[in-house]
Amino acid sequence: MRKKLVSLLLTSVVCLNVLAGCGSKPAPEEKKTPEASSEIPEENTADTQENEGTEINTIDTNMTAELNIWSSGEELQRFVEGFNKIYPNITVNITVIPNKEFLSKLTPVLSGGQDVPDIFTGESDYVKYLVNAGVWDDLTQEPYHATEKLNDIWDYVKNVGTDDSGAVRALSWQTTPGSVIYRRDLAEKVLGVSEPEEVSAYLSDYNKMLETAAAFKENDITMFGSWEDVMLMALSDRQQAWVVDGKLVIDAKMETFLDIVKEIYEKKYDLNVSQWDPEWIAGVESDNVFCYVLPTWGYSFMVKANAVNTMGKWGLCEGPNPYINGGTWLGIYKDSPNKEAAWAFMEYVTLNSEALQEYASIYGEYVGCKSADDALAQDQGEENLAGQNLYEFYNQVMAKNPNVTITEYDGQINTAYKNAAKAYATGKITKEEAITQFKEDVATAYPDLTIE
Amino acid sequence: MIKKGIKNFVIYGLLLLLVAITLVPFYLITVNATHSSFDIVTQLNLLPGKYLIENYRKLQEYVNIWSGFFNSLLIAVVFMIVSGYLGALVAFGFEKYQFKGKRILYMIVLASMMIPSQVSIIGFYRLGLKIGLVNKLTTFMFPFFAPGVSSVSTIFFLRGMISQGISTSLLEAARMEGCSEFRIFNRIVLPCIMPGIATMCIFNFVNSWNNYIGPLIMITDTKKYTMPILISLVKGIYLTNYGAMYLAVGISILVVVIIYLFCSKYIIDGLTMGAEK
Repeated sequence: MRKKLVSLLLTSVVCLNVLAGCGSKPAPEEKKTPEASSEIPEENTADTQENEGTEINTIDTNMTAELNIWSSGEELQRFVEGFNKIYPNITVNITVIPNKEFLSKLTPVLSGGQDVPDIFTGESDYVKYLVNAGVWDDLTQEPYHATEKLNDIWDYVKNVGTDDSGAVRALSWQTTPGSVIYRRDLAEKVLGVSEPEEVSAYLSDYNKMLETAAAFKENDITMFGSWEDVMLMALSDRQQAWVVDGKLVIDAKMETFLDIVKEIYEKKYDLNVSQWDPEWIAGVESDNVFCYVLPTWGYSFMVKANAVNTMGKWGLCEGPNPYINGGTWLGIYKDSPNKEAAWAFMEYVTLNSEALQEYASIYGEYVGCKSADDALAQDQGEENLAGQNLYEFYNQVMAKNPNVTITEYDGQINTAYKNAAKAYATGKITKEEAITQFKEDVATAYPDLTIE
Repeated sequence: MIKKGIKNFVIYGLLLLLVAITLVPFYLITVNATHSSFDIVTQLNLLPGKYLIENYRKLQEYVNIWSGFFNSLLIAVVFMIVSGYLGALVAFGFEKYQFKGKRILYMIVLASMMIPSQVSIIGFYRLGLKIGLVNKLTTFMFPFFAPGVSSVSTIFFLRGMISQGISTSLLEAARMEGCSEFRIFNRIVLPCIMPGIATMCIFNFVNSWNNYIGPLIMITDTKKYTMPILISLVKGIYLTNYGAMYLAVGISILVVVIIYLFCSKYIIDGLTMGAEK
């Protein structure tokens, strides 16, 4: 009898584990119904209700709440101190999650519906997916009514955060227009000029840019850090996004760009490395890389952060076309119990011009709020840019309305394109094969897309 | 005699080469942890630099590496003990008792080895959610040592050991003396297979120490983050700060190195046990 009991115990222990394994059956996706937002538990809104002000404008700054925020970067933490000066009773807990795993962590939590953070961020690679999935609240509706305030936001920030039905679901504290970040001293040496407008003239279209690269090559200077940088710019050169109405579109400009990549590779106009490789970063401090084609984040995180000996030798100029790339958005979870407090924080981070000016003056980031950027453009320029004012420069780029072609598929499609372009440039496959390979890769990643 | 000398020379030469190859990564991590990012990306560093304190300061600025260190240690130690003891218990049950459905159950246990943990992690998360174990302060470790209750590789390995090393007559003798079944396991079986358990414990410890995706999905509180997540955060935050990254990696492998240094005897003993028969 005893023997049996022990064996029963042992096997049940095993079964427990097996059962735990069985739990992995995919549960039915939570319905993304719009009415879900109307059935929010109201208990936490109690203290704001006492002055009968359902209008968020008359919100009292004494409200008490605890906000949970998931972010893929540490930037949001920088706003907390200033925010708590206005709202001392709102506790803000920010959890930073590595960007690469952000979606894999968020997905199970969203489908479980428990412990979902009140606010979470979305990187440009997948922000459209989150916007269209309807997991964030529409900010133009109750209780936010943000429509008027959105006029002070750059269109790019607003448009990317808007879903197909026109609901604004995500906003950002930053905007990320692009530039060619070049070395003034090397420009002077090879081209004989160093001011942004003059250098821009040498980069007015892609062919001219490659001719300029040849001139630099003669002086043993590599034009670009990596051709992948140039791709960020080329993506804004096309008229159509990767996916239009569920169909993969390869813009003629992207086909031409394959040849540009090949020329850059064959004539060694770049360092033959990928972005964020050590050599790519080290190029900032060497005297044989002329420029990096990168948006605002590339300048502040990469070039400025690493320039020590080359401090003050940099300049920002425009390339063949204005472009914009990347960014992090944030939105309020549709079933969050702390919507008022969440909106107070989000408003502070994305729409409060004074707060953004202060943030930008410390961290040097170009922000999403127009009036803040205008004010900052009046200040004196940056030391690293030899006195050039980056806000003034980026304002000019934004005024040209760079093409925005961001879709929810971009992350994987861009990777597939890069792989195909690389294989073609190195001569492993022909151009036709590269395009076929690209289409196949996209079809594998997104079987639902129509591919011709 | 000379022939033998040459032979030894070649053998020792090759072995020394292997040692060098094995040590190079550890050496590079240690050395690079003392250099600035810029030096790391631009040159090959063979001698220690002066940036250790600077790197440490940068690392501590954003992530609290020591809290991650102790979280990881706590989880790994509990996981190691639970998986070692219960693994042996299950293996003993499968080997020495006859009961209905034993074969099928054992098959299921083995089959579960083939499901990668990445596949079942979402289900595991939902299970934890249903029984209220996710993200609770007191029970936050539970999800990590629960799988240790039946760590398949441990069961498989120890079952083989029990079948070879412990004869049924030994158990019968104990039973004759009036020893209870549970006592038999604790007092007779466990000491006999200790080297094997020690081996598996070390492997399980290292597995748990390196577990990245599990804690990442299950923990949402930064204070409870484990070592691998913090290292990944350092990567994400600094993007280019290789010095701080190397230092974080260096701290994390420290424990594993120490474990192997002191326990390598058990690992070798455990793996070769029964080989001489």
